[in-house]
Amino acid sequence: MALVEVENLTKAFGGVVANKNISLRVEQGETVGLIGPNGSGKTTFFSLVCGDLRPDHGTVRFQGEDITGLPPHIINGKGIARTFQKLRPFSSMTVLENVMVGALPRMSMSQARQEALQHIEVVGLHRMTHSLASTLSTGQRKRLELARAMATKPKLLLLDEVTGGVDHKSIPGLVALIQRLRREGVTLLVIEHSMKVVMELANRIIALHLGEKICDDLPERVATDRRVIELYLGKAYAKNH
Amino acid sequence: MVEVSATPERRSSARGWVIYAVLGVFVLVYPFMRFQVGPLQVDFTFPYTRHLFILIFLYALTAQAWNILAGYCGQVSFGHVAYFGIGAYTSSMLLMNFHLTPWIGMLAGGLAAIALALVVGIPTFRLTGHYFAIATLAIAETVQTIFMNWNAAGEAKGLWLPVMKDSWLNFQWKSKLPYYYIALALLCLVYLATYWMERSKLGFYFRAIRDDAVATSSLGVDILTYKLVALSMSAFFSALAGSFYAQYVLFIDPFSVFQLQHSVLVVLLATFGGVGTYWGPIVGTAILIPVSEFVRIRFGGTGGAEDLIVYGVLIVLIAALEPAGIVGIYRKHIRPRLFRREGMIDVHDMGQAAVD
Repeated sequence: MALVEVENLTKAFGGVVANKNISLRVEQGETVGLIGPNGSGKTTFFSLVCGDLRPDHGTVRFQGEDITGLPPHIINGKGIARTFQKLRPFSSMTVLENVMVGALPRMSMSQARQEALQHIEVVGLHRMTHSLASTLSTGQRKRLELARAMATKPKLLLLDEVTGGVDHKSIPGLVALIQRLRREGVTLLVIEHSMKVVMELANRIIALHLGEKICDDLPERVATDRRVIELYLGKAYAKNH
Repeated sequence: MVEVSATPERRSSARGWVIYAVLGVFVLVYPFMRFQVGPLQVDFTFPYTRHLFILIFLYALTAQAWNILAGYCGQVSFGHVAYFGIGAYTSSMLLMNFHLTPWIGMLAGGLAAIALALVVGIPTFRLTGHYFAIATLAIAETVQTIFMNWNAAGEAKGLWLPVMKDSWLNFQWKSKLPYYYIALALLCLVYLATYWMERSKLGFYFRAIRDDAVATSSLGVDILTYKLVALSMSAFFSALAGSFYAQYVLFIDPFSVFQLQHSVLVVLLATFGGVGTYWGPIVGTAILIPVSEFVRIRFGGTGGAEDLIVYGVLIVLIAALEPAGIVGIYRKHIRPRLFRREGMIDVHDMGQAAVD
C-alpha cells in the first residue's frame, strides 16, 4: 500500500480545467518532485490533497483511507501538512507563537512551547524566536512556514516552492534543510521551479502540463524526456545537459 | 523539570502592577471620595458621578466583549446590540413571568445569547469574506423587529420591570452604590476571562485565525469551532451587560436595547482605545463616555447628535494618525520614552494585533 494514492483527480474553475484525471502514487519515504510551467495545476493539486479545495471528482487515499473532500484541519490531523507558495505567516505573532499554533492541537501549552523551540532551532530561526513574523525576510518566512508545518508532525509534507523568490545565497541552506527533513523520515512532495534543486532533492519527478500528468519517472529520465523538454524545459536546457 | 509558561518573556513589570493597584484602589473608593483641593470641592458621592462610572463600566464591558470576537479573532460584528438586547429581555421576561431572580435571569440571558450566536455563526462563518459582518447587521435588525411584534415581550411598548424593595435577591436598590460595584465586578469578570483567553490555546487560535484563517486550518485547527467559541464568549458577556442594564434602568423597549447606534458605539469605543489590545476597550470608553456626557450636558437639548459629531472627529483623527488607537499611540510614542530598558516587553504586548 502506497502512502498516498490519487486517482483521476479533477478540478475545474469555470471553463478552465486546472487538474484533469491526475493519478499518482507516493510511497513511504519518497521525495517526489512536482514540476510544470506556471498554470499547469501544481498548487491546485496540493490544495485538493490538503482539503483547501474540493475535487470535482476523483479520490485521494492516504494510508489506505479515503480522505477526499475532508476539511483541511482533519486532513492535517491525519498527517498531511503543507507550506504555501504565497506565504501565509501570522504576521502579528512572534516566530515562537507561529510555530506553537502548529503544535497546540496535539499537546499542552508548555509541551507545544518546547516542541516549537526545537523546530525553530532546526530551521535556524532561533535568533528570531521572539521577533514578530512581519519583521522576517522572505527566506526567513519560508523557514518559518517549514517549522510551522513540521510542528504538526506530518507523515507527508507538501512543499510549495520553498526556494522560489529567495535570493540565490539562501537556496543551498533551504535545500539542506529539506534533505534533513527527508532523513527524519518525512515523505515529501515538492513543487519546484528550479530544475537544479529538484534534480538534487527528488528520487522521482512528476511533470504536469495544462492540468494533466505528462511524465512520471526517475529524475534523469524526466530530464531527458522529449515531451518534458519540449513543453517545459525548452530546447536550450536539453542542449546544455 | 521546571514548568515553563507559554510566554514567560512577557511578564508585566513591577511598575505595571503598582499602576494597577493604584487604579484598583481608586475605582473601589471612588463612589465615597469627597475632599477639598484648595478652593476646589471634589465630591464623587453624587448619584450622577456614580452613574457616570457605571456607564463607563457597562460600555467597557460590551466593548471588551466585542473586542474578543472582532479584535482578537478578527470577525467584525456590527450587530452586537442583538446579544445585549437578548440579555435584557431574557432576564426581564423571566422575572416578570416566573418571578425568577435576575441573577439567574442574567445567566439565562447569557446562554440565550450563546444560542443566538450559534444560529448566526454556524451558517455565516462557513463563508469566507465579509459575509459574517453583513449578517450581523441583518440579524440585529431582525431580532429588533421580532421583539417589536412579540406580544409577550410587550411589543413596541416595551417592558416596565416591577419596582421591588431593595435586596440582593431582587437585584434592585434605590442607591446607585450596589449597581456601581456590580458593574465593576462584571467588568472585572470580562477582563479576567480575556486575560485567561489570551494565555490559553484559545488566544493563540483566535489570533492565528485573525491573521490567516487558511493557514490556521492547514495546521490542524478547526477554525469554525474556534470562531464559534469567540462569538459565544463575546455574546455571553454582551448579554450580561444587557441584563444589568434592564435591572438598572427598569425599563426596556426594542428601540433602546436593540439600537443600531449602540452597535456602532461599541465598535467606536474599542477602536478608539485599540482593537485587539487588552486595555483598548476600557481606555477608549474611559475617554469617550465622559467626553460624550460632557458634550451632551453642555450642548444638549438642541436636537441630538452633538456627541456623535465629537466621536466622529475623534475617530477620524485616530484612523488618520494611529489606527491602533490610544493603546497604539502609547506603545509607539509614550512607552519607549518611559521605559528605555532594552528588550523589555510587558504583558500587554500579547494583543499586538492592531499595531501591525
